[in-house]
Amino acid sequence: METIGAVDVWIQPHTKECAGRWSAEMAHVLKLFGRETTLAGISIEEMVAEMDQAGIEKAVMSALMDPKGHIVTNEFVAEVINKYPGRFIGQFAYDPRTGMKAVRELENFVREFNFGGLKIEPFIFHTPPNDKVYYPLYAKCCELEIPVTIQVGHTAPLLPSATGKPIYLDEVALDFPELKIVAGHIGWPWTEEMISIAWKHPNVYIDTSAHTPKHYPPAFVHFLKTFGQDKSLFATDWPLLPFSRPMQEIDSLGLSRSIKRKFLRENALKVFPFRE
Amino acid sequence: MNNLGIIDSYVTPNTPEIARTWPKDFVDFFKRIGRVKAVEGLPIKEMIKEMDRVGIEKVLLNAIDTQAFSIPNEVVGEIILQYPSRFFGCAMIEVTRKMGGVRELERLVKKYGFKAFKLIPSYLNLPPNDKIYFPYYSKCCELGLTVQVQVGRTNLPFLNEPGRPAYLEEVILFFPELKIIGSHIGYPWTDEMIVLAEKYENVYIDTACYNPSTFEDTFVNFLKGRGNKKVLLASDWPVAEFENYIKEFMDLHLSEETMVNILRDNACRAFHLT
Repeated sequence: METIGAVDVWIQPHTKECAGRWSAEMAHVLKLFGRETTLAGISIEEMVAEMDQAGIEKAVMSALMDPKGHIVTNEFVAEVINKYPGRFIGQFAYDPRTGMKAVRELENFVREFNFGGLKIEPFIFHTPPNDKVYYPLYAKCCELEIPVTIQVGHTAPLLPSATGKPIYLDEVALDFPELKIVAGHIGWPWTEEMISIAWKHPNVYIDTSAHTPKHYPPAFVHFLKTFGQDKSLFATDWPLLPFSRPMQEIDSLGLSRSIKRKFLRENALKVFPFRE
Repeated sequence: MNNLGIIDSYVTPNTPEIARTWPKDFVDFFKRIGRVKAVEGLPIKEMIKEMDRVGIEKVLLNAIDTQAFSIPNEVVGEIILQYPSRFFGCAMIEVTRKMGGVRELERLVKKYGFKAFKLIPSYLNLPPNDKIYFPYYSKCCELGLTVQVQVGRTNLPFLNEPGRPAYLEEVILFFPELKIIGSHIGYPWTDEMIVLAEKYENVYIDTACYNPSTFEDTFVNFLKGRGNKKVLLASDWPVAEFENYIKEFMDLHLSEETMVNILRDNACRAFHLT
């Protein structure tokens, strides 16, 4: 079997210290996925070994927030990616309601610490992604030529889901046509809505984080195999999913070799500014 | 006051070339208020002589970029570069240009040294707390540009409503470092504008389009009191004449300290002038 060297576009570090900061409302999602045991923490070395074993060559690693603040700080992500040059891209997460502070921090992390993306989980701020609080950040992403990843679909942590409706991204894509938008988590239960947005806008993509291939919604599988083959990006949302299981299940989708390469690797390398 | 070095915070350049392009609405307006000379225009050198005669050291020059009428930023920029001690500039870009406009603003500031960015929300029927402006506000913060927002009713056939000063409060709270000027006082919502200028350190009011003899009592009381550090003299030349405007202002018989603030010092603070 050909080795593809997969790129996972949604992970976050989960060391003992990070795991200790997961609040009950956020940790609910680990319970749903049968992954509470990870709350003991997984070292960076173990994580990397797990990636190696599963055949994941590179990953986009983000900071993580809950409504009270950072679970994983941008500073910590910077520290980790610095130890593995070329393997990770750092992704910035910050409260957009802090205005210019968030904008300046984003620019700083991109210019000084090789970050290559912005991550937004709108439910954390109870604010849909077409809200004005995000607009200065989107503008900065355009200037820095980095993509933004925005969570779509229902919210598995114990927080409201309505901010995850994919249709909100339509307006963002219209206002910032040059901005690459990666919609993370497929968008279920609004999968068709998400697909319509990704089909309409040249720079909108869908990543499969938090979904295992056996449970991808059928509409998404069709999208991936046909008109969305250049728009679909593989992702796990590790530690939510282990790296191995989704990788093992990929072949159950019956993808052609060329589509599998696009999905696991090539599309991600087009969207995210990995350095060799 | 002739040696004070007055700063006029709202002037629109009106060379004969520009005057030829005024749309009919404006020409009719000039005629109606008896400013027939404005219809002909005045070369910059002659304008500077008028400024000198009344002791105006510096004026803010507006660019205009609307569908109906345009005074290009480059035209204003070249005047500023030619007479840097006499003029500073306020750039205008149609915000519907989105990121293209944001990049253009940055280019203009770097090339010409513009100090302010102009918004006329009524023209777009979009109040100033609309998200379309937010990338521009963040760029103004980065560049240290002051935002000049028209407030109050508009004399042109557009909705007045986007001129309500209260819309600015959300902008002020989200961008506390941004210097914002409520331009044209804000009538018929003068008190609403005064409240913001009193409440927030970086908010100012300019007097454009209102002759001092017609200031409402509420505004005169404000500028005599707590507003003495928040009001900017703005003749709106060529709508008003410099000489008459300054004379009417003097006739308000303000304290010397208030005079100095309104005629000069407040503008230095509001526009980061040195």
